[in-house]
Amino acid sequence: MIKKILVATDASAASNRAVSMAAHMAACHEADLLILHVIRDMQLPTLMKKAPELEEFANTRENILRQVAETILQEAEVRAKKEGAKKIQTAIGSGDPASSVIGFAKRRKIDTIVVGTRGLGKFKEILMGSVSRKIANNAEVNCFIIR
Amino acid sequence: MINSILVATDASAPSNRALEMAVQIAGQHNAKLLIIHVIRDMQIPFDIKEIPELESNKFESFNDARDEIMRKIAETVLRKAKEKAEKAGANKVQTAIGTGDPATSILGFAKRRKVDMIVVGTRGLGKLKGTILGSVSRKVTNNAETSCLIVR
Repeated sequence: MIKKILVATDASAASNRAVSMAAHMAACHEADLLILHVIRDMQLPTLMKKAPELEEFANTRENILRQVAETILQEAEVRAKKEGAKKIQTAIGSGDPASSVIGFAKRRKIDTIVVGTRGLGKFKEILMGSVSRKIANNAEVNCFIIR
Repeated sequence: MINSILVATDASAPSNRALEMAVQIAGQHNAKLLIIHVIRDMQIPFDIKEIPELESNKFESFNDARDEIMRKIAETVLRKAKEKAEKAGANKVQTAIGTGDPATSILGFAKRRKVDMIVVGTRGLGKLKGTILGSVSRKVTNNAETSCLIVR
């Protein structure tokens, strides 16, 4: 029943736990594991978007974040292998993290999404961050929220 | 890593799927499985409880009768769920009946029994079109201190 697992990571403590758990599940269920890191779009005030240096700056940022993404994914892969996962793939997404995760899940026909949560909710009583909540609320497949 | 799993059931199709998934994971990880069913409190507007024509003993006997029926239903739901789980290979199965608000009851059990994973089904009864998570599952996943698997 669990055949294709997607786990999203930003190398935070919570998402490291999610990678370990996803890899552990993948090992137990002999499932494929897709590790995804999403590069968010640059958030800029409208006025600054008109600055002539912006394109160069955006390219530099993109290059740095891609390198960071690759490092994060390599480390996650090592972590996953330690837990016994065998069939591991990695991918880099871009834009809104939750939308990117859900898009990948759809295109790659994932059956289980695993995400960590840091508990950064606006209200004290909500122990769930906004990315994980958006994924849990909007995904069409099973979601495993790791704390 | 996964040693004890809690799954909540109300015998609906989504909670049956949640049970199936919980059983499968319990089997794979040789984990304990706690199946719970929550009996909601009777919802009666406060003012109605106060009307003088309503003899309070009648109200109580009605409530007791409801409670008895709900407990019988709960026992049947849990017995069937346990049979299903054991048939599918889970061998450390316990059941429990909770009362009151379903999400609060589930979270209470999860804490007291120190489970490390909660499995909930969802019917997708969210108020907004973009939100396809029912209210019980949302409340559980938002407030749990343990990992939660939402089964669709």
